[in-house]
Amino acid sequence: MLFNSVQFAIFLPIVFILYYLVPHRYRWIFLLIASYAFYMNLHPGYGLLLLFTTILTYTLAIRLETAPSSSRRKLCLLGGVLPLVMILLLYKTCNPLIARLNEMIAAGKLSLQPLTLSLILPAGVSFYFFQSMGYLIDVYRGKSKAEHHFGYYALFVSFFPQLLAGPIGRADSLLPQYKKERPFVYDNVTYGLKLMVWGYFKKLVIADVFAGTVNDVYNNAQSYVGLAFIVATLMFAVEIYCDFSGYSDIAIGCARLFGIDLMTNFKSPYFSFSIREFWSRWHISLSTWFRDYVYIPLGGNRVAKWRHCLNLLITFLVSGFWHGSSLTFILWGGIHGLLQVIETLLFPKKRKGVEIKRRKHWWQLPITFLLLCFTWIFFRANSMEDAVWILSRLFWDIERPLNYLQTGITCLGITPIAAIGMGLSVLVLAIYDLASLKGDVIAGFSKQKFFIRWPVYVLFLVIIALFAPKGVATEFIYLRF
Amino acid sequence: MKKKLDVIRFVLKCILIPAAAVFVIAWINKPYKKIDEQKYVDVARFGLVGTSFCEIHIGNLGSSHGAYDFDYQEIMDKKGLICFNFANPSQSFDYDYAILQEKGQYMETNSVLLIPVSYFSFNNEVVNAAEAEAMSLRYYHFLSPENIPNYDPYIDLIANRLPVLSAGEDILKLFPNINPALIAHASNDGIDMEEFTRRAQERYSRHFDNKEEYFLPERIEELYDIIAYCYGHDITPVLITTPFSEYYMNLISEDFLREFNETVTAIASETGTSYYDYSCDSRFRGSLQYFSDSDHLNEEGAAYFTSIIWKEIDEFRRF
Repeated sequence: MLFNSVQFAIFLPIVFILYYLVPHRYRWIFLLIASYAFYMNLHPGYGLLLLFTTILTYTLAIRLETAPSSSRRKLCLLGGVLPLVMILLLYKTCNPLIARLNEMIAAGKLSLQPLTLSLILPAGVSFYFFQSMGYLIDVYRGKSKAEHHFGYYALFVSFFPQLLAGPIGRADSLLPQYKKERPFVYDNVTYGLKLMVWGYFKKLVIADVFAGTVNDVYNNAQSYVGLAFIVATLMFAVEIYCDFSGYSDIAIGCARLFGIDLMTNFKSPYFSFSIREFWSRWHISLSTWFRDYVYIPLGGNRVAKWRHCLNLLITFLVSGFWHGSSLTFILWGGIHGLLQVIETLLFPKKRKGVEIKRRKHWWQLPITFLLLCFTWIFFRANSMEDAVWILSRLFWDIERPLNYLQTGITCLGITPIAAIGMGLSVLVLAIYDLASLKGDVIAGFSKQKFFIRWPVYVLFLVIIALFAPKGVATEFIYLRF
Repeated sequence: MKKKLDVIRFVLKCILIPAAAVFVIAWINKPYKKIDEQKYVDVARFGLVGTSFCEIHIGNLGSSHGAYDFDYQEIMDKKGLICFNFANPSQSFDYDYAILQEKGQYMETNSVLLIPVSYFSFNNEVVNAAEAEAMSLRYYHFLSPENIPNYDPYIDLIANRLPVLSAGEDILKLFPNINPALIAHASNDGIDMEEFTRRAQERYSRHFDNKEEYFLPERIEELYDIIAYCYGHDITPVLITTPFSEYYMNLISEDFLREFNETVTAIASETGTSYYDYSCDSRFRGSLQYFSDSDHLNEEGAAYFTSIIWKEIDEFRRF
């Protein structure tokens, strides 16, 4: 089930109440059952893949730990990682390949019957595969001990708040938490609820509202020109941030209800002064995963400069491919890699082994943001043709500035009041993110007097209830990856 | 002791804060409900069925083709017959049937029910789930839950009982001092020939694009159900295809037309129902003055068309 579904609104309170009624030693069983029920509600078959991943990595981690030789250890590691990578590759590449083949068949280049096979990527598979692979690699490296309690390990892989789209957890941080007694802690639980409300606000009031215009423009790219693309891209930058960080906030808040601390996934990423900094603030659990399990094994930055640059490029190309095998995602990753290479060459962190302290200039913020928006075009475009079309027409008719502005604004069909509403919601978001740079906003706000806090809580609930788009539930963007 | 207090504090907070939010929403909902009723003013007429419209002699179902292409005013005025238009834009056969189940009891014995069959009737006119859901909202205002296809209590709540929840920016209508221009989209400034052609293409795309099968078995089954209901309640069903402009007809393939005619004719002959096809009627095909767009008649066209069918449909002879 999805976090923004009615089922979840019923599921969570029931699980929460029962969880604290169940004695501590049985809580893992209860959470495990709840997690499988949560996942299998999307499709009963998904549970099998989750179970397979759990059994495979659980068994191999124990074998790996007790393996007598390094070659055996390597074999155990590959035995766990390769099948998961292959399954992921199959899911990510199968449909685009079939689509390409069908295009060729339709064009008469191949004399075959069109293929009707289609593989649907099970929700969350990329995330729990990565979490399981990370665990196996950590055991291989001796960073973590293999978990011998199958139940705790199964819960580590399947814990429902993080199952579908992370944050991708690490065994050394999560497994001990599942074993520890977790009594009801008022501050912890209320913090979790507040974080969830903030996450829902971002997803339902900002992301879903912005998605309407973004989808209109990007799904019908050939019908638009000029400013419409610029506005839609800026809106997409906000949409994807609110969609995904909203999801992460809900997940982290939800885990807090059960006394589990998940990793922070976003830290005001649009207040970054460089692409490098952006990646230390955006989807942190995935970027640190790639850092630890791809970039560092490749040699990281402790190699020759050219090799360091190549490592960056490879890591980001893999990251792009993780999002999807289409050229747009790979190019998106490639551009991010390239921008990091340029930053590394122009503004190295260290010179002759000595760390260089650089002053941050305010103008770096908009430049970084605009570069990010440029890359979002590839990320959001439905095809490479669309991305090229959009880029080639961003400034179409700009020689007539008034016309450019008027066409761009009117063709989007956004009413002035809707624009004001969107502007206000972005302002609230920006204030929150800016304040987050100084400290924990929710913890700080929780210290206020109740007559200040309560009206704000009520206001947020009312705003979410009133302004969240109703009807067809929208998926979280990252569920498709 | 502290733990117990914490739990009580938490439970209280969990009850009081959402309760306060619900109270605020209910408080705003009250005045908004009156504003919202204006949105569904076109289905308010269904409230008259059973009161002002009791023994209906002539009625029609259908989508926008049924909603806009029949004008019974003259028949009602001159012949004193009671006529009712049960059609709504994008209404599919399942909703036609639902309406018939609820309101069919008000059709008089031996009354005539026109069932428009359009080119999209055996599929869906709506193009996506969001539009289907938006379209379904109106039925929550005049049909009882047991008759609404795929009834969803959540939709009932947000569209019917607490409409303020689905108000969006319309909520600003609660503040009459706000300039309406702020919440208005650009309006249409009349249409020329070029626009007519473009819209015909748009309508065609809406009706035909991205559809794998034009004749869904469940839709055919629903049409059989409607016809069976009519015969079971002494109502005479009449299948009819309304006039389309040449701009629209030129886009329809011969193959599709053949299949469509075969399908409708087969249903008509199997059930012993008359079928009248005015889609290519020369009195309308090139006469754009009767059309508001490529496949809908305007008021003048509707009056003219109704006067024609009044004369030409044999089932009306009994009146």
